[in-house]
Amino acid sequence: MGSRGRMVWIAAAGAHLALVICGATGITPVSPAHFAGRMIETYRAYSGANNGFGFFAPGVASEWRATFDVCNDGHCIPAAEEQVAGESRLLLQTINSLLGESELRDLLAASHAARLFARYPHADAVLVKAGVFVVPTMAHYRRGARPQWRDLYGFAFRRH
Amino acid sequence: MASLFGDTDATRPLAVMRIGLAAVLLAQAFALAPHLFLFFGEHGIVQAPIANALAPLALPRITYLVQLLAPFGVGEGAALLVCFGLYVAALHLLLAGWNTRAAAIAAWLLHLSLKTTANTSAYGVFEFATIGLFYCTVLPVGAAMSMDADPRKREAVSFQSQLGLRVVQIHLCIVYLSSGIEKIRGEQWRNGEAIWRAVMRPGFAQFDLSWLAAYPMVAKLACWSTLAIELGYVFFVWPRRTRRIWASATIGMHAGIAAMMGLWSFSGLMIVLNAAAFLVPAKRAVPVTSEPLRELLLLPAE
Repeated sequence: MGSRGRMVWIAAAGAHLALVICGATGITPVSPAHFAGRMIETYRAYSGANNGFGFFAPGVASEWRATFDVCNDGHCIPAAEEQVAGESRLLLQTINSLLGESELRDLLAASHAARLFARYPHADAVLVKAGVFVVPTMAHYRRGARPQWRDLYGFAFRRH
Repeated sequence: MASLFGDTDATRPLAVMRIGLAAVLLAQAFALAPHLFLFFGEHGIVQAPIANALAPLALPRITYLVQLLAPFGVGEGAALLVCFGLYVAALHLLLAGWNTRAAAIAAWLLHLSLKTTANTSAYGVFEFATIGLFYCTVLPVGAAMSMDADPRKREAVSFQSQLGLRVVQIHLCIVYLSSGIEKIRGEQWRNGEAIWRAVMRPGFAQFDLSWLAAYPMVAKLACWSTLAIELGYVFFVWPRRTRRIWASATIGMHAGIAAMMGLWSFSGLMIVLNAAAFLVPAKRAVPVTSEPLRELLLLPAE
């Protein structure tokens, strides 16, 4: 490979790494309002250069879960949650973590409800409860506090 | 510049990255296969209209494939199964290094399609898979330890392989530095509560580690060790004297995450990337001048 070819490769690598740094620092290099910006954003999404790496940072978030009651003629019974383990459980946790985001919470609850109406054709209503696992600090734990699930939001859906 | 990129043959580290990445993603694919429709299906936990609305339009997804195949009577279920089946097949080819470039491109695009379709469930391992598969499409990852490997072409890709390895190494430094900076800004990482909270979460807890509350210094030490490894990575993984120690410590940290929190795929992928980038030796490319040796190595005459 000639020196010009090498310089092209090095320039491309440098540009790519600059975009990786932008992703890691949360900087959008060129506004997506421009055509060039949209192209760059597409490249970043395809290459993974748009990723931030703040895993479990600045703190470890609380775990969320969705629990359900299905109702028929005014009688409600708890419905089983999805039984998954291992890798699938991690994916389910990631979905449930969206319950912590106010703008997505009701969308996710609606999605859960639609699935439950399909699973329980005789249900005329579904209650989706979003709960968070509250972990006390180590000091509070030593004084007797214990981790526990606490339901924070409820969403009721009726079949039309 | 030449000494940085041109005088060593980094095809083996890149080959280890290719093989490890494909193996981890295959294991992940087999683990997810029983619940494919739950996470990737149109009527899964997060239904297609919601998932689609949260992903950039330019990214491929199963919905696009369904629209494409609709005139042929192929439904969503069949399209998902075809996509997933092709993804697994492409990963097998990538693992073996047979038609490596085409296999990498197929695996990368199919992975992106699956990830976009299930974007609400995609966690860290999906992001690093995108990064790793993208590198597999552009770097000469099939030049060694593969069915495609041809010793006569090894020298021709020496520059790309060395540059590629440097890019992967620098990328890892950016990952750990930014992760370390984000963590140290949080009080939980400075007082030890982060590790406590992580191992007490029911979704991560593999063992009962509630005894940590009685020994908060252990949790604090684990937090500060993590910070030291991540923040020190960029400084200590380059010098030859500390490289092995730091890369091994980082791998140990990921092994600990896998064992304590059950993040096997994510940890496996990070271990592969670290091992390939900093522990697999890159060979110095020595021009072969002896004619009998060139013949033996099937190299063309000079």
